[in-house]
Amino acid sequence: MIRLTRAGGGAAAMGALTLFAALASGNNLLYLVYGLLTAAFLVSWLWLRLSGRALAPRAEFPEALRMDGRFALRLRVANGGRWTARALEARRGPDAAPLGELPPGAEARAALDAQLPWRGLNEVEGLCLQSAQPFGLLRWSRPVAAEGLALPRPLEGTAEEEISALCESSGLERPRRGAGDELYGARPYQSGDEARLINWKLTLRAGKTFVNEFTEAAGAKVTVRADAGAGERAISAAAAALERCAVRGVQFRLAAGHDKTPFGTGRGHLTLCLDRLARLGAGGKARPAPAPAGARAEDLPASDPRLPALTLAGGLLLYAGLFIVDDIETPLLFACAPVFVWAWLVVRGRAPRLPDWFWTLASTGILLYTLLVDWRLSGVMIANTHLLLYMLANRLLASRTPADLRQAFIIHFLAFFLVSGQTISPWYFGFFFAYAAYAAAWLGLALSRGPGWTPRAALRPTAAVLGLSVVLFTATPRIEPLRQINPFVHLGLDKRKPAAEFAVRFTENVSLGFFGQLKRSSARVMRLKPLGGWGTRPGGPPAPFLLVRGAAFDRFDGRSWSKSAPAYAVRAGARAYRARDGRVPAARRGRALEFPGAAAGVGPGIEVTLYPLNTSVVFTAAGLTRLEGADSAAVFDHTDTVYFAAPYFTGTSYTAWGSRNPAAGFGPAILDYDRLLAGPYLALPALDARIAALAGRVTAGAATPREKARAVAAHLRRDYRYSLYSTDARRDLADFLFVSRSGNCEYFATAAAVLLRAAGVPTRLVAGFLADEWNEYGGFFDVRQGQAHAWIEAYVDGGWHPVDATPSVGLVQDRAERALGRLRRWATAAQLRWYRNVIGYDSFVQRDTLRRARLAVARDSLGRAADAAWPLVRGGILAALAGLVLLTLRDARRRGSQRRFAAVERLLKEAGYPRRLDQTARECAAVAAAARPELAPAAALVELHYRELYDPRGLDPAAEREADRLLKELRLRCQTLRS
Amino acid sequence: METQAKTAPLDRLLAQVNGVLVGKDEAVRRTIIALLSRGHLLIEDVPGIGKTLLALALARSIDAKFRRIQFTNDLLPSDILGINLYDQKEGRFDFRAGPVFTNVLLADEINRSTPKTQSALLEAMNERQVSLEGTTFPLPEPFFVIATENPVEHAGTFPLPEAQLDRFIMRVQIGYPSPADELKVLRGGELAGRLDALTPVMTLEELLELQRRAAKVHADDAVLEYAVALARATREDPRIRLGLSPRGTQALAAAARASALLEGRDFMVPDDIKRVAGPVAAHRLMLDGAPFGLSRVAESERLIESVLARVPAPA
Repeated sequence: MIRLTRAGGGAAAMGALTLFAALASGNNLLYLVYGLLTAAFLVSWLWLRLSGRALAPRAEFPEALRMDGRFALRLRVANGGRWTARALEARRGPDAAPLGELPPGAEARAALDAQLPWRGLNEVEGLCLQSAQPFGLLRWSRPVAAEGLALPRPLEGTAEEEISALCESSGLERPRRGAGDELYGARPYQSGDEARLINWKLTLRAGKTFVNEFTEAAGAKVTVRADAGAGERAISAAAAALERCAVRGVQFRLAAGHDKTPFGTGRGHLTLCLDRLARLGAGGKARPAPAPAGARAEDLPASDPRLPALTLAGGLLLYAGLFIVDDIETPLLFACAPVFVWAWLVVRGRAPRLPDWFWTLASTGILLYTLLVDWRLSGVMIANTHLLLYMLANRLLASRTPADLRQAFIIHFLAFFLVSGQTISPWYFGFFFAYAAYAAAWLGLALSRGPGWTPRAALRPTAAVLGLSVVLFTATPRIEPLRQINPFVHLGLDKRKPAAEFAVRFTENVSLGFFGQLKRSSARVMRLKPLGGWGTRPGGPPAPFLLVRGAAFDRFDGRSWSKSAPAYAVRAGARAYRARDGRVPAARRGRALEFPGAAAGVGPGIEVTLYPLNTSVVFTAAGLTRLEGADSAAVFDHTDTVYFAAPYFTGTSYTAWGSRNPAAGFGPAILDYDRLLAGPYLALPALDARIAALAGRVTAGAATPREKARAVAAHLRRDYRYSLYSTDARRDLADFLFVSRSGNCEYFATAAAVLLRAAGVPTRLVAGFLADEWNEYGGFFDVRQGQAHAWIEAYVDGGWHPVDATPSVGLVQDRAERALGRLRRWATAAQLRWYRNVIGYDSFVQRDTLRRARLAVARDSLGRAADAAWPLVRGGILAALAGLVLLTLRDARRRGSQRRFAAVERLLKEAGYPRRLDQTARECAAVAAAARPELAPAAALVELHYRELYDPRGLDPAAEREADRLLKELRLRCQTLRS
Repeated sequence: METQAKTAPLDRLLAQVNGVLVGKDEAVRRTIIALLSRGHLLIEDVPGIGKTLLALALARSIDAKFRRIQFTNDLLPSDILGINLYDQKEGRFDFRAGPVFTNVLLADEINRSTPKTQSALLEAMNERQVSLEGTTFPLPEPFFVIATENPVEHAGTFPLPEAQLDRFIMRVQIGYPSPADELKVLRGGELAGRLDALTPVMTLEELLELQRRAAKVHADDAVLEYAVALARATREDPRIRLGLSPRGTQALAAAARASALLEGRDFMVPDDIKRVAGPVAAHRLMLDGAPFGLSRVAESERLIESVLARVPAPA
């Protein structure tokens, strides 16, 4: 049977906690951790089943055991299967003896101290074979039946009368020459006799040397009586009697009731008699010998010298892992590095250990600091991580005993859990694998009780665990509603919630260098479901990607963009509404809101579902004429940005109907629009002189604004590199254009705007999202915070057209660093993929993935596979047909004759002479012909049949004709016979 | 037709020997089969029923040399195989060939001599050569041994063990003649007269040619499978302790081929197998209970028949 160990119980509790945390927070890395723990259990169970199945343990008792004597009970185990069994030990109560590793086909032995308390058969209880491989989470135990025979203990001391009372001598005690003690007689001295035997008296008297001769009670046979009901003392006495007989060398036997052993001498016979004696009465039935009381000793890690070094390596790994948690200050981490060097020296024995009182003081101090100060300062999670860092250091420096090592391992796991909960970096991937390997190695080494453990032993189970954890990660359902009851969000475990401060800056201020941080977030911002009017097939994406327009800005101060608030008026019907703070309210028409341009008719529509974003921007994809489903009112401004009256803290959804001519925007409804165009949209701050010169150079050959816009965009896309690694150090525009030549989208957009404005084209910056993640399952675009994008709109040909000067991530060719660029591009793409598919893996993505996988398998690959296989299948069918034809031809001859002979057989059978199984054809025909002469043709037919079958030449046509004729003849005769 | 012309000498042989040994067609037939299949014959029967007559008639009919050895308790191997004699005059050893150097050898009462002598003869039979002190002397072709055993007397005999019995391709029982035939024998004149009147019906070369033809008789797979099935049935029968060995199966096939040739065919049919199964297999079986003498003979024949009755024959 398989049971949880203490460590396993702890791991199971951790697993449950992790699952709850994962379900509640939606943190996908916690799903990975949960998958790892569950997989470890499943793999352990499977390994134990497979390796334990073929183990055959046997208990071995030494020969001639005495009651109450301590002996070594041997457990012999043979491995008859194909799996190596590891970490085996023999156990009985608190006693344990290690058996080590058992490869297939091998045998091992271990010995435990035991004692048989009863005379006769003893059933040794509690002996079992156990193993806790490969990770020590589950323990497999197989009880071993052991029955031993305890011989009775001979009575000590001089209870002569008691012993003699049991003995009966029979047979003549014929004195004869021998080595007894009674004098037999004297005889003359022969050479070789011992001098001490000389009878001096007689020698002197007779004048010749005489020696003494002694008798031997040879021929005596002793019967020792024992009675089953006489009590243990009597049986012990009988045992003593038997021993004495054996020592004396006489023939003896045991008589117990009617059962008498044969006479015999020697130790062998003594053992036989004692065996019989042992089984008398109560000794004949097995009585239980209970296992010694006492609890199982605590499972401490083995004192393998490699374990401290491995634990240190694990500590280093976890320390490195802390670096990928963004929220922990890197300088603090670096400050802790010397601790590890010191710890390594301590492990090597070259540095002194700190005294215990120091650690007690330090621990108390740090704990107080954490509870009172740090929780408030950095938040619970970060404070806990600081505490963990201290505990790591503590364990590394203060550990002495194997119990300390175990504590260190637990702390390592906690650190792993915390790192998983707080990071989104792609480096976690490698960290995860490294930790899994370390944990498997540590557990395996701690479990092994022999020097035979090698890393290779842990390879297969670890690989199985990793594979299974990935499967569990993919398949465990993500339940969205649980996120509502989310205690972990407040603790900062939920890295998918967009942080509030980002959203605020989103509308008010776009600064250079800002989007870098946002790109790493995979929090979902909105879902965009296209409704009618896009001109593409329903159910599919209207385009490979959509530019989702958020807010537009027209004022650039050299560093950041903002809105100017000009005074303008909007024409609505016959009236003119003046803008207040640069904004005009939208008209309400029934339950919907209408915008300028609605009279011309609505364009393509989208249904937008927004997550809590702490902004009030209305996102559109093709302009806006009509807004439905929104509860609050809306306003718009001269930059064609629309706002709700109040920010939506809890998310919202609405349907936005675009305009037939989105480029126009709200411009046509604004009075005196040209003034705006010439004003804020062309204004430039004081900039580096090179920028104006660059603008002139780039647009040199362009005549129309359209060509100028194209030229600027092409120039930026070609000669500049997209980089995700925008640091917080705000680099300015001149640095981007002339020095670094790399930046992210708002650099490109700002540069395009400035260059175009310098070339005389009115431009404005738009901040929004680039939606390119189409969810086939739901039929919508998934928009995440990482897809935040900035581009420009240039006033060209009477309308605002979007111009995206950012090179797409996959197309940039930097001639100077081509290879490195490719690697960087691949790294960026991988990073984005990590954020999207692992960090942001929730139920929608899960269902979408599974659906795509099923469809792909069902439709595409199956169809393609069928096409490829068809020629092969065709060939196979033809070959099979050809083979059949050949076989048929070969058998045709045989079948021909079989056919004829089958007819003969049938005829004979009908005539009453069926062919018996053992009869040959000739015999059958002969029998029939002998009985009925009319059936004579059958005999001739049989001869022809034989020729046909067995003669390699077969039948010539004349013979065949003859055979047919005979058959006809026979048929006729049979018919006449019947009638 | 052609085949039949070629086997005409066989018919003549059959007819001639049958003329001498009256009323024992089957026994004669089996003898010829053994001869054709290049095997040796074991006659297990009571004394005085014409074993020597059969051997002599056969030898005379095929114009073969005939020798006879009477096995006694004190027979030595050199009495059979030959000896190297020291010629004092010449000062060298000369090989004096033993009676085994002949075409037809009658080994009478083979179970009377010691196993050492028996094995000397049996080895010569098997290898068809005699090795003596380093020199090998081949035996003449064709070489045919007819050994006889008296199944009744057991005092002072050394019965052949099963492994040695295996070397005889067939065992034949001649049996007592019918009263009419016995009468005919008594009426028909002296023994010697009949024998002297025999003339050879074929030469040794013809016999060798016939032997080669017998070996080339075509055997269809179905027939061979039947033979193998028979052999397996003897091995698996619970009443038989030791069944037919592979050498026995080969003997069965060879004998069946010879039987087919004797009937004038050059292809084998299942009936051939069935016909020779009894004589070929019966003496190779080791039975439970080890019955002795004539009862053993009868018992094994019965067993073979029951085995034959249980194995399905091909069409």
